Amino acid sequence: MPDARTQRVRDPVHGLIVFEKDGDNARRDQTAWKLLNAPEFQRLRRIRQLGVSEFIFPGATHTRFAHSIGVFHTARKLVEILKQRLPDHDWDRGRADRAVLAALVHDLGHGPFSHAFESVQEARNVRKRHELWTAEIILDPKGHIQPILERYGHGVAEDLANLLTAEVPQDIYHAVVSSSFDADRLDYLRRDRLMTGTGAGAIDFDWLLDNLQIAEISQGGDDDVEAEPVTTFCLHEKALQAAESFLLARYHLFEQVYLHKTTRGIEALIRGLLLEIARAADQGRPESMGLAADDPLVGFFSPGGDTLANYLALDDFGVWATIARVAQRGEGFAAAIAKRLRDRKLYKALDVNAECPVLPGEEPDETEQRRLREIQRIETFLGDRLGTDVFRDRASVSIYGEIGEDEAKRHKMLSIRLRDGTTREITVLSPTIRTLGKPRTLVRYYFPTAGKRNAARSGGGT
Amino acid sequence: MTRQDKLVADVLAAAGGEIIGRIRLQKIFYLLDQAGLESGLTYHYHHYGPFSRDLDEAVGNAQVFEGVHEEVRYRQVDGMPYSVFTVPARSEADIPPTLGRLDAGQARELITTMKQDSATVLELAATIHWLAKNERVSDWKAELVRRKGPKTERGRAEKAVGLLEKLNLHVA
Repeated sequence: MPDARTQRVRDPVHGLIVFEKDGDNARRDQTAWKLLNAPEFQRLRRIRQLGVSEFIFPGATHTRFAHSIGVFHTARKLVEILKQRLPDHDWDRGRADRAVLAALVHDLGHGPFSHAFESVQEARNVRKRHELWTAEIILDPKGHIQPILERYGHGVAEDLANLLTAEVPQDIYHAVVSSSFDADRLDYLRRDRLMTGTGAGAIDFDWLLDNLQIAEISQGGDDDVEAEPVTTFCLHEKALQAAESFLLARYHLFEQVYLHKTTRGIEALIRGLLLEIARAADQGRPESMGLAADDPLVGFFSPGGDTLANYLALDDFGVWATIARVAQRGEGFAAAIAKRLRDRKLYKALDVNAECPVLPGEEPDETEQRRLREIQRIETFLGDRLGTDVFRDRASVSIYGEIGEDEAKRHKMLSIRLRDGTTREITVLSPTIRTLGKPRTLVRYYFPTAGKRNAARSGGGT
Repeated sequence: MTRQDKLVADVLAAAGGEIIGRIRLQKIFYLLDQAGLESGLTYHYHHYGPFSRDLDEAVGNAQVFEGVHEEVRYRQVDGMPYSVFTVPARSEADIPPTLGRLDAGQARELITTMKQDSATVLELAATIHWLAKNERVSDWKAELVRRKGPKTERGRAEKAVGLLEKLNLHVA
């Protein structure tokens, strides 16, 4: 590789990350460096990992670009572990390197304000999730990613796209990008914890990696054990406490950061505003929002506008610019929401769990009953205003993350290998984890004024 | 609380009082909706195929207001947890004549048919229907294999297609 150079990146989580120019890994690392410099990858510098969480945690301005490099670095560590643990005849250098490159590019298809944007698309009945955009970006022969991968090896782009969109793991190399200890999760939990400054839980990274083992688990859902087993990561039982801490850290991050009531309230406002923009664009009247036809969001939401080129033109920076324009030149509801976002004049939250705290001696089911009755009362009181004047947000979280999201996949649940060689899912072994296995539901309402919130709080009787 | 909460209890009653697994429950509702239940639930594609957040909420509500019970059990082979949903037995007088827009007898037959298959076959059947009818993927067979991999092997994909036929949900 005549133009090869050793490249170095300093990272707050991992320290020095080196892209080698010599040795066994040079070709892979130099390819990774080229991918990093592709425009599609540079776009990730303009997409924040935690979207609007920086409204609450001002340090959380880290990007999907930094996270992706961290995932690449972690994936390299994971394949080194595979090399040590697998018998020589099972070790496949090519598969391992492709898993590492897949880890690097896994987030290419994220849109601005990732999850808020996807929920807008869901509300518009558009069924394309970010994984499919990632695959399209990787496979686009007119883009910059596919040619780099094809130069690395014929068919590699297709391999990577398949690896990132397959729902069922294909082999142990797949576990590097999708498992209970995949490189994505091992990076984002540590990075989000550091950058938000929450200090939620603790992650004993080195001990977890040292105890990482390979096991087969059934991939069937529910009680189905007939489906073929899949080879994935598990932990030796010596790491049981570290595994508990790892899951607890994640649980606390979900509660304190990802599902923070203010974050979710801002996302609800963004979702509401983007839906208004989408409606105006779809009806060919973007000027009613104070927007020109060449605004990136207008372009994407216009009929036939959801092309790859238009998608790649979207990022957080562009959406904030659009929000500023709507605030300045738009009118009505959309302009009011845009001004609120710009100036951080947020809606007032009514958190049902905070309104109905656990009472001394109360059984969990009794608390849940009171909360559901409170929801019923609030929604009866609000009537038609719900969804127009008032936003509602509901999320359900358990030890495996947000229910309905991909955290509850079988191969993403955490198994422990016992001394007799059998594996057991951690809730069987840990009473601490078992108590958090039952989903906890969070329901919040967001009101334009404290007065309206207080009226709902006390209105309609009990 | 809502019509959907009650529907959860009614579907469980029509299922003989028990449905094993959250995936089964979700897929049974999805396929019943395609057969004409008209529950009003909305579905999106998730890891195990079509999934309804509204149904997830209704199941929680039904446990408080409609007498539905959820018990967590663990698979013998690997300790993986799964839920079993039950409702108390009902007298004839308490059984409604319709389930959503379906005749109760017809709904019972459909549910009984679905309960005979594994969670994986139900997942494949719902996914096939989703791919063909919602995403309008012309070569849904290839896409099913690409997404679900080894789950489609050992005759499971064929069983899923057979199940759709039995439910009168034909995909081209």
